[in-house]
Amino acid sequence: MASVPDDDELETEELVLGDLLNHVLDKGVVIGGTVTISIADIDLVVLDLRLLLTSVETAVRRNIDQTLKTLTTAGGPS
Amino acid sequence: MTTHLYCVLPNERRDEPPADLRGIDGARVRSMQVEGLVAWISDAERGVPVSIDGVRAHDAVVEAALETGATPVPARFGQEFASDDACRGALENYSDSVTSLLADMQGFVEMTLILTPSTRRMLRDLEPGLPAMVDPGKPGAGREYMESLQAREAATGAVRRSLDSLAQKLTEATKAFVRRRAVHDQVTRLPLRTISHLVSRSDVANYKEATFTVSATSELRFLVIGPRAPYSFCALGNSDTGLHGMKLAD
Repeated sequence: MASVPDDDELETEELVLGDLLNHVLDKGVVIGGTVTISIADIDLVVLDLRLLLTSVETAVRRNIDQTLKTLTTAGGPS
Repeated sequence: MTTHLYCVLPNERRDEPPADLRGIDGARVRSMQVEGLVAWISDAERGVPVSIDGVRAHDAVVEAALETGATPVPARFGQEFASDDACRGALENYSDSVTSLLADMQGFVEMTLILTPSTRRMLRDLEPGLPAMVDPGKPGAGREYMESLQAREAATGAVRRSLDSLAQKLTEATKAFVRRRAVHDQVTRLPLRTISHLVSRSDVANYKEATFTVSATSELRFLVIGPRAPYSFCALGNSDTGLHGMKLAD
């Protein structure tokens, strides 16, 4: 695939798609691996990371909750 | 199988959606009568994954509803219910808010302004990644790291101030046609600005013309998107902001 010159304008389509995602999705939603949007070759990373971090935080919180629940049920660590 | 909600329309729009209209995963879109309004729904597999195609399909249905001439209140992507009855029940729970919102939105559409640095190079230079780690054992490593953070902040700060200035000019130019305004948090941390305006359908051309009177700079440009359904103005009086379409279900 031919590379896009750095001085080119940003693709309108990319910006429009980014805006659509911004409008329709809540940030709490986790986007799967099918996301192909990129702006200036960097947005994909940021978008993915941001949303992934949301899910990781949730997962960590759930793990902590689950661990605490297990410890409580078991009567605490021995 | 579950019921996916796309949007609601006023009760007067009782016609079935276009026969060839397809929603998520190619499902046929149908209408469902609910007290005082009409919902556009389709069958969907449980736990529809979030994808670009899914978001586009959802929006295409909402856009088709907008083309009926009425203004739909769009649902946020992923509003999924166990059955049509469960969807109807959720809408009835919010009946007063949804009906009032629908009435409020008739005759209006959303226009969006995206303000952005002009070129790929500029955007890449402003990439909000942290500066490269410096060797912590090196003398002055802490100072070097803080200086690199400061330099990055200075660069992005200047662009943000320029974006603020352009946003102010656009706000001033369009204010005669704007009924309400919403600013989105960006999904990305890039220095973009998105401003959404609720505009009368009859003022869309005037609104666009007003934006053309504002000159972009060599560093910044802006796009005008719309008319679209009022995704950014869908608060139902519950805890949700309503910035991404109405939210009935978690």
